[in-house]
Amino acid sequence: MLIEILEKNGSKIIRHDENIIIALVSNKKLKKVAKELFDAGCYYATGVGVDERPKNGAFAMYHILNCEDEKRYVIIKTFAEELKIPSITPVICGANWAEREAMDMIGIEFEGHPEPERLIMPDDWPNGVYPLRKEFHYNQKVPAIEVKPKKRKKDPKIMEVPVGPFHPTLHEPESFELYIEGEKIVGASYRGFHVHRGLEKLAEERLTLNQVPFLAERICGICGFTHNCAYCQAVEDAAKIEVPERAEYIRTILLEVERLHSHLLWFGVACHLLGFDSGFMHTWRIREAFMDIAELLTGNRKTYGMNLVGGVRRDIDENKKKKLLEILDKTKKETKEILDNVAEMKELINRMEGVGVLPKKEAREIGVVGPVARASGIDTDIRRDHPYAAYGELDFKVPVYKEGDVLARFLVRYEETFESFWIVEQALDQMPQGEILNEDYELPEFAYGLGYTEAPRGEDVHFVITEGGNKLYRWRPRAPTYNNLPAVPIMLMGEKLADAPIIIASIDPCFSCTDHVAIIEKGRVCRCSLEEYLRLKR
Amino acid sequence: MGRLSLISKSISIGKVTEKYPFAPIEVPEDFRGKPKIDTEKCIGCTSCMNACPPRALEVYDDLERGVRVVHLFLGRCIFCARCQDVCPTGAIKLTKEFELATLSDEDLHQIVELQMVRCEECGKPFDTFRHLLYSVKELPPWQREMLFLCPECRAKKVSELLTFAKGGGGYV
Repeated sequence: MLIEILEKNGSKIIRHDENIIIALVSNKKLKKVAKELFDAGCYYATGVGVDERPKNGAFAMYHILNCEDEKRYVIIKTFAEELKIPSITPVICGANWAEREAMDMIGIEFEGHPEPERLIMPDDWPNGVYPLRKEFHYNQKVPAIEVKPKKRKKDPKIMEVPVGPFHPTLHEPESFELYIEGEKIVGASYRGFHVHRGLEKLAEERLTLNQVPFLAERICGICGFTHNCAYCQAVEDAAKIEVPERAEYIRTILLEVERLHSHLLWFGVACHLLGFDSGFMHTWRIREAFMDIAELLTGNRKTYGMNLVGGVRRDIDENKKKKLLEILDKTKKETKEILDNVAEMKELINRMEGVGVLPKKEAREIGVVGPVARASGIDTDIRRDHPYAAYGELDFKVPVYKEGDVLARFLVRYEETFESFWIVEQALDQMPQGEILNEDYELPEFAYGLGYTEAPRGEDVHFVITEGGNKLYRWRPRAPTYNNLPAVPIMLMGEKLADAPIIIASIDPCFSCTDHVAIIEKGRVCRCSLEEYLRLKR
Repeated sequence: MGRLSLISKSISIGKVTEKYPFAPIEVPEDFRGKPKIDTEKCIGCTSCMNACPPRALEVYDDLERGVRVVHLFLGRCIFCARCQDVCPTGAIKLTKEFELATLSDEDLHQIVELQMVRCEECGKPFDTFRHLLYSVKELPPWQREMLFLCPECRAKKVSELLTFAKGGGGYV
């Protein structure tokens, strides 16, 4: 059906296979195609602006959509004629941030964008300097320009409560501004992208193919391995590299170990935010065992450094396998004991039930991913829908809850934790013998690759264009929080101020991962501005 | 389970906090700690420099003194062990040491200096002795004669030889 929509609108199909369709769409038809694809059940995964002047003499924009029904990714490419492309944000509001990012980084103008304002670059960045254009160098310094802070209208009835610039518990740079009337939140705004680090430029210009995985791993301090895995899969997809089966299984095991420690970390943070510090201590005590597992298998607690393009670097021998199974057996019981204890505490359940609701319709429009989507009744999981690594051969359930509140998100993660134990056990059992690294490959020139993984927080997408030799032409990582964050103000609306920390934390936000690529969001989500929210309230 | 059982659970578990730094802490066999260069084995081939993602390892030639310097700066190191993977002689290895906090910047640098060979023709230092010895096995016999020539002089010599072989030139 997707291919019919594209062909009907006269698009040129560049690549068409089981997982991915890449099509060149004309500027005139772009909006229509986007609308039809969205109606056909696609949600917006990410958008990538590319400076293709050395190759085609023009700038290009790639919109990456994920179709859950057909279990396929659709990438629609358009060329910016005279630096202008029609915006698709009016039809898919999930494209908002991605288009503004391309605007900041490449300088493409999106016609008809509802809020064409700066997102990523700081306010004092000079106008007309675009860091992802090829003539800009990674170590180039630009003088700051002077900015005057904008004056804001103040409503005497409404109080502003800043949360940030550091999250009260997550210790990450993020800044929410909550607008309070009495006890109730009537508006929320997010301002982020404080720690934009220019990873993409660095990877393009200075690093080589097998150095980028280590940079990708440092996008996130918790789920780094999944980024590094997604990057390697993207390059493997572009260059059609076959990964040895044993390497696929080792990747799966490590991805699940990472999910286990990430979910336990979240349970701890959630308990702490709800005032149940014993639960926090106990989950983190159990989590320590997973850090030990990681240290045993990879040589370090975090930043595993295991992936290279074409496979993994270290094998799991019988000795390690035995130790791993022993630790898993012990922690499984302990995890169940503690989490059941948490789930039985009425005070905690009362604070989570019915709080921070995200309805399914809004969730789909924004394009939320991972546990947040599954808690809002969207049955999606990249591991099952787009099997990568060894997930195709393993058996696991995908928990889905309809309620969309904080409790549902808690329960989704609760069930996922035990599924992860089961996946690791299966993978260890079924792991075949053989090679772990395939180094016999050649990188083609200007080939597209897409890598996707289900990070603990949701779908993680990496888009790669190769340059040949051992260099990349363009690399665009997209962390799951990039899609989940715009949903937070919707969840906060009408809730009590005291519930704000747990609601913000319920998406398991990873602000810095999001920031590496883009932000400034002022009092608005999608097409709804703060003023509109306030109007709704009265 | 309720609050009471949690108390009994806590009592049965006891203390889990490690005594570190007052008692040493164990790390597994394959731990990736501080890299160490074996000065006896290093040949100055620069492959670690090419693999190092954060440029913690730099190799440069000090032409005046005629030495090649392999400089490891731990302040940039990310402990990825790529240098260990690519080192042809196994000179660089990651140790189990992880206590790297220090008051002096000097402790974070490791510098290995390797004697270089001067070109027979132009006298410019061009490669380390050890690297030449290591690569001599790989060279075809006709190139071994030009072992002590720098790449530029070697290219010149080769083109001279070729003109000679063709029967041209003024040497005949």
